[in-house]
Amino acid sequence: MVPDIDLQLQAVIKALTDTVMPAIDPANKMAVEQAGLAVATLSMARNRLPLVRRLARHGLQMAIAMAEELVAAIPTAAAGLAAPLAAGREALQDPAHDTAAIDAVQRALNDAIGALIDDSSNGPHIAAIEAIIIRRGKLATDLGRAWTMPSGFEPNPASVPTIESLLS
Amino acid sequence: MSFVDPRNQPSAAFIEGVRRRFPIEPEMDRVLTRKMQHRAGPGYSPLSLPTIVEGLQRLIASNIGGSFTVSNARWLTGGASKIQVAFDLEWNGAADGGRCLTPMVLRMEPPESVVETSRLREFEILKTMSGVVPVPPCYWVDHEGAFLPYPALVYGFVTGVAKPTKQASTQVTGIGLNYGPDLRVKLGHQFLSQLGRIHTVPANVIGGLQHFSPAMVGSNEAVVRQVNWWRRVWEEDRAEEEPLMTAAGNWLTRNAPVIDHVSIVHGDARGGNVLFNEENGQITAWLDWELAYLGDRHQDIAWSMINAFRHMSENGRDELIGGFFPETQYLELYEQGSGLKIDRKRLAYYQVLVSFMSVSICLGTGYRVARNGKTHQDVVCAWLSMISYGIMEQMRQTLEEYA
Repeated sequence: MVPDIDLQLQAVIKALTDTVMPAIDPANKMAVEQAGLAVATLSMARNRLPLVRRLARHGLQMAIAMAEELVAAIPTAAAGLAAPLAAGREALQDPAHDTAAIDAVQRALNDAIGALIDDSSNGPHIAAIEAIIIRRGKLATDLGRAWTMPSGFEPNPASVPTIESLLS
Repeated sequence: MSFVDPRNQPSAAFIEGVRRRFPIEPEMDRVLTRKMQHRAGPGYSPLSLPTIVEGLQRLIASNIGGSFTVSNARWLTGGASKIQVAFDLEWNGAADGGRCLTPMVLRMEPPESVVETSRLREFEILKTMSGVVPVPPCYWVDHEGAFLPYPALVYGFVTGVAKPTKQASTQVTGIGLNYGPDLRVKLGHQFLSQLGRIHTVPANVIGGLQHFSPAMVGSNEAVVRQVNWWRRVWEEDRAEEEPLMTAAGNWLTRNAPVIDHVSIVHGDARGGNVLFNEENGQITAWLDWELAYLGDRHQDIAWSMINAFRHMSENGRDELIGGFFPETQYLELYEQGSGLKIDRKRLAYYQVLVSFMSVSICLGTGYRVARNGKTHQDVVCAWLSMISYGIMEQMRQTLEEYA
């Protein structure tokens, strides 16, 4: 469909860069900074837009893997995790689930994992639960760092896999 | 499956449930509860300078007698947290009661800030720190927004810069600051010795603070309250559950260490929050005291050591903590200046805590205020949220090593 989203974003970025930004009063520093961030944000959104569905599916896969490991290792985990885990597996297999639906299923699964941590915080299994969360947390922080790499905040970009490699 | 976010229009039961789960200092409880009660209200609409000046005049008139004139009002930039307006006040403010012109700054909250804090506490701590380290003189506070659109305080305008003027801005809110080889040594020595002075303010002065809950040597009560503050902010503001944050929050509560010396903790101690004179390299003011509380000095040291505030030296050999010195030298200089020891194990605990704080602010509140259009800097807050995953990884690595 013309105009596609990519074309619309490209045109807006060009208009802001070529016409709007040069017309901003340089003494208005907040306007100058916000205009620069607006263009940077739109450029990043344009770059990431084609990957959004793959990101959602990958995020859900990671949550499922974490939940499966918790269920296998912690006797009390299945009670709260079984249902959202089943919903997660179903969402991955059903092509009719759009990105928002996949995100919602992942959110419910992560909520259940969070409840397991809270409910176990003074119990005998907390050390084992934390060990799993901390070890598997590396996958989540890698994904977040790779996704947000264009922000320029990453002090050591070479230590982070590319988003394309993580989502492939 | 549709998703209704309970945090955008929180019920009274939600607000009360979080309050009960995470008990904190009374003044901070007041501020965070007010935030949640106003959550469903309107977002930020641009304010005009005349509107702000009108409120400012009402605030000043309620505090001083005699005639006065507000002039030269102008927006100040820097930071994503508060709305700031510089102005000149002609008034009978001279030491002998005579007429004078005093440059001042109004610091006002937006409808919901990326860092929701108390103007009463900020006002009180600025008054207390006068004479300890360079701080702006503090004049008046409107803690309920009775005169201005939102809560605010007025302090003196201090000359100085937060970063070398020759350095181009590469990031928001002072992140990525590089002073250069000469300035960093001058400023680094002052920064660490003055941080030591902040941490060794005498107990009788600390005991006089009205809006801060006390901390006690040999107890971890103040540390647990501090953990609860940030667990509460995360719970109130986050977009979604992050299991790593939940695990870290629980770990912080269970492992809170006792305090061996009660200090005023600045809460946001880093290079970007001190102004300096570019000609002589002298620090002219410590700013942004809104996160201050009574607790453990290790928190400020850990905060200043966050990865995002570091960079490599010009020769590529040393990682400069806070943009100042390599880690060993940094900690030694602090110990020499303050006379207080740094306990590495406790430092690791606070490295987890400050990472948790930082992620709560940037990923939690940064998301929420931008989502609801609550600030004058939503685009900055949304951008800043992207710093969180690197900080979360720093927290994860510390937990992996010490948990």
